[in-house]
Amino acid sequence: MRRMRWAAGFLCAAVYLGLFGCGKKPAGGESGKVVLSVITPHNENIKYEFSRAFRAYAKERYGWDVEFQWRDVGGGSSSILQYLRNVYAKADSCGIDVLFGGGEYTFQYLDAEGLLEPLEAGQDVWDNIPAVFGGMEMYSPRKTWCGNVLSSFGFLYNKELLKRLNVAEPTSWEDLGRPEYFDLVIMADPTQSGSQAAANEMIVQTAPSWPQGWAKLLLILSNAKKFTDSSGTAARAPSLGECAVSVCIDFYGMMYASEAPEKLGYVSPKGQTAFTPDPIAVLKNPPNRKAAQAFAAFVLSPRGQGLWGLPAGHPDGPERYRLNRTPIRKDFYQAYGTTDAVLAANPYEGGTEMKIDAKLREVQYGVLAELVYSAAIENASLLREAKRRILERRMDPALAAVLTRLPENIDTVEEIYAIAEQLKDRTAAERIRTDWTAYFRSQYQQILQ
Amino acid sequence: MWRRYLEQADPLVAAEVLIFLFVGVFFFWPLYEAVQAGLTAEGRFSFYWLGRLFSNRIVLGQIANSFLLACVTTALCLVLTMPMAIVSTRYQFRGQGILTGLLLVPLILPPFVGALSIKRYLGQFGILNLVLERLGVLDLSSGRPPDWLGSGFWVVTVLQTLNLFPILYLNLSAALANLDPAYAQAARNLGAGKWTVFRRITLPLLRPGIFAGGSIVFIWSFTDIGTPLMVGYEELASVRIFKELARADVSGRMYSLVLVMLVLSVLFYVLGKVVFGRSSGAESAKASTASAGQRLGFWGTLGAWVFFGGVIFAAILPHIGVVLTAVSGQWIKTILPERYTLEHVLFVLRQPEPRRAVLNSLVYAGLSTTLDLAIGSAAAWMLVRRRLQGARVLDLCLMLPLAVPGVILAAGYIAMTAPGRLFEAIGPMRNPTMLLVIAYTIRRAPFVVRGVTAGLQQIPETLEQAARNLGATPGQAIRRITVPLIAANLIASGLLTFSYAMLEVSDSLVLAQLRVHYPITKEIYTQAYSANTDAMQIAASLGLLGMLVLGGSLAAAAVLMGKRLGAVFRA
Repeated sequence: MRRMRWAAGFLCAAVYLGLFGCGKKPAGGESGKVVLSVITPHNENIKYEFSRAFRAYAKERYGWDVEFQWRDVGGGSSSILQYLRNVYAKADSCGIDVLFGGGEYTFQYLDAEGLLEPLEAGQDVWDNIPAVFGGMEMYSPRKTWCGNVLSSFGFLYNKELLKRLNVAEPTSWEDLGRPEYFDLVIMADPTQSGSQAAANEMIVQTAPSWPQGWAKLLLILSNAKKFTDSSGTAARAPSLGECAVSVCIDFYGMMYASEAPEKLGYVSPKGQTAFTPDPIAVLKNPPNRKAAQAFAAFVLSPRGQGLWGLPAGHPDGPERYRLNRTPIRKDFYQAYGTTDAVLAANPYEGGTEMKIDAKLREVQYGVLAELVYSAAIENASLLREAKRRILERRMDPALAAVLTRLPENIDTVEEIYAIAEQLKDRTAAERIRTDWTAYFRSQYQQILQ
Repeated sequence: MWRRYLEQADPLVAAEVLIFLFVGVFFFWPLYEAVQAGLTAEGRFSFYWLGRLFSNRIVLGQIANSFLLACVTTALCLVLTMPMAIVSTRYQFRGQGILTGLLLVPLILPPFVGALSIKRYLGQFGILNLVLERLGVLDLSSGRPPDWLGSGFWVVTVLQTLNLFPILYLNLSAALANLDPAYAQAARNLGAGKWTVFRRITLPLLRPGIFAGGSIVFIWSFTDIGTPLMVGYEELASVRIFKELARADVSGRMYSLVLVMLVLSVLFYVLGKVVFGRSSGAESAKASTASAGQRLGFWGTLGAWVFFGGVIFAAILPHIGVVLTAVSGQWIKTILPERYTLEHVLFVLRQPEPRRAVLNSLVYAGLSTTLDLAIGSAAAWMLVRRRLQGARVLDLCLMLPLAVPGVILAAGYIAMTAPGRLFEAIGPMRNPTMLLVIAYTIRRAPFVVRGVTAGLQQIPETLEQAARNLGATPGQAIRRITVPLIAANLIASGLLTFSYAMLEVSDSLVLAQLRVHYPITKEIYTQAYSANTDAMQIAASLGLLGMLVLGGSLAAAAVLMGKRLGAVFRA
């Protein structure tokens, strides 16, 4: 009897696995049913609004019944990039149609590796999105990716805590590097967070020269008590009481600050942040090319833009959730002005953005992330100790100079270009990283001695 | 000819081959897929990356730190659990059932939200410092308060100990339950003091149990990522692996570090086995009489309550944080939430996705625990009883998954199931249920192998031989004699396997890509890391749901097993 029970148990398990454990190929094309597979770091609210709106649009326009498969591989832009590279190394298709959202660098890398297909968006899209804005590319020259919202960067802070610590609220990047902010800042690791890497870039490019920009950044890095693995974790830190200030992307900052305006504040430092695009692209050999292109075109259309920028319940806006992002199309602002739209600021009129050297940014991005990784992430505790020692000596200029001195092979802009080339080779990249880490370690030890 | 061969084949040897095949295909293959870059340079097999690794003093220092951390955590766990296991198995006192049950509380702490609770308590401007300020011990305006999380190594060891002690506690309790009190009584009759009896009789006989739990705690701590990351202590090899893995361009050095950690885990494991793992031989014996359990007096009971209560209180703090976060309206820099609401809990209960995720978790964990019990027990049997050729290697192979980060295996599975490859049909692009069950099984098998091996080492083979002499078939001897005698070990390993499978994170994050396949842990993860302002409350509500389901499952198991569960917590 007992044996029978065991056998029945195993049989049930086997039948379950047989029925549900092995999947069939995703259906597509049968009687108007279309499966659209999208990989994205966006949250559930964004997924909800875009799938609802696109389903209605596709039914009306093409007669399709779209089934969304939102893929999540457990992480942000860097996890997605790693995942896609891993799959494309073994196969021609990754089985996913669209990449929706993330830092533009993910898209630039995928484009350079030939893993994106040209977008088939209408001419009105290209007419309404500038190719370059504030020095930043808004879509790729081959039109394989295109930004659909804009992001800027700044810092979120706990007002009450700063008041109790007798520290003035920050208004510029320089403020975060001041001695009184020592041990009060949390930032994300730029090799894992695209938005932190972008913010670092803004900090460096707002200085008159590369060595001065690095010194400015390192003074902020040395005030950090910790580096988190994602910008979302960093953004949450001031409300958890982990720190007083965190560097973050504008919509995280504004969202937290709007929840508790009396306790939390957010600032995009005036003239010190550029707008960067948050793109969409169709992946190479998508299982459903037609639907993939239709979805990308929809996101870039006025209807898709309304979902980003209009209040919930607006006839052209989202149904339930206020997504509160800055649409990229200029005609969005012409159509809705600033009275109707959720966001008051039209990025194209504000004049508050900084102008960035996009070419330098493009090569510097990887170099800067590696440099920060070596100087601050790998040597986090030593860096803090060294900064503490400098503060004890009342910011002794000689010691501060040792702290912010760049390695010899990267102390001019020309060398940034040369190093960027070398970093393309993984073996060389590891060697450079190891050397830099050792260099900074010895600098910090020198200060401590 | 095949038929004749099959008829003659020893079913146990066939089972051994099958298990080898299973481990080969679902552990070594994905591992190879994931880490081959660590042994190749310029397209050829090379030790280049290993050389780079060993010439890097920072990495070597981190490996040494990891080793030290594992030693200290294992020692702390042992010091903490040995008296608890002895008191709970040898003595009786009022409220014992509740206290020993609550000791398993760390087993139901959901990830992410538990970590965030600890941050809320120990952050520089967290609850502990706010309480100290309220008490007048600290003055926030005159200077910076201490950052408890930033104090590194020792915080990690304490938190790891509080998280991992149930593994050792369950193994020690099972081992103590198997001990024959006659030995201790004989020694006492011969004039030995209590300490001498413990040192000379109990401890040597407990060696298999200590090794079973200790080896898992050691390797776990050696390769743990969650606790150090939460505390922000990064001077560890495991954290380096995690951080480098999260980068989009992973260097070969990282993969070679994975290989080094793997080899070191094997070495430490083998070393531990030589020192602790030897069975104490023929003299070990299953209790022929149950220990009566001495009743503790008032002071003894009070002492037990204070000791058990202190450990439980420390272990339960994160859970309290999860519950409070779930019902909080706003909670920024105050000791307790500023207002309370059930809105988030009700939202979670009304949504279909959390229910589906709970069901998925139960299916994944239930099936993988069943497979683990089958595979692990068979392997332990081959090792201890039949001493089959290759069984030692199999034992080692089944321990290795403990030392490999889940994300590494997951990356290997992704490569194996890419479109057009052999295992595409079970890949995450189709339906990853089978793959998830297999991944969970592989990663939790060590619990059962160690637990059952310890049990088998403690019961004399002669009992089975006697049954065989009296005409029992091998199957009957196992079913009627062995299984009841190692019930405590099977139950303890089953509980651990199931709980840790329910809380599994890394494989699920990568392999369960569509929401219909999410287990509860991934549902929590997506909420905890979403940018919504109420994300914490929703994630904590999901965590609360997870705690209730897992706690409920363990309680249901206790009711179903009735007295047999008592074999582990024998009073």
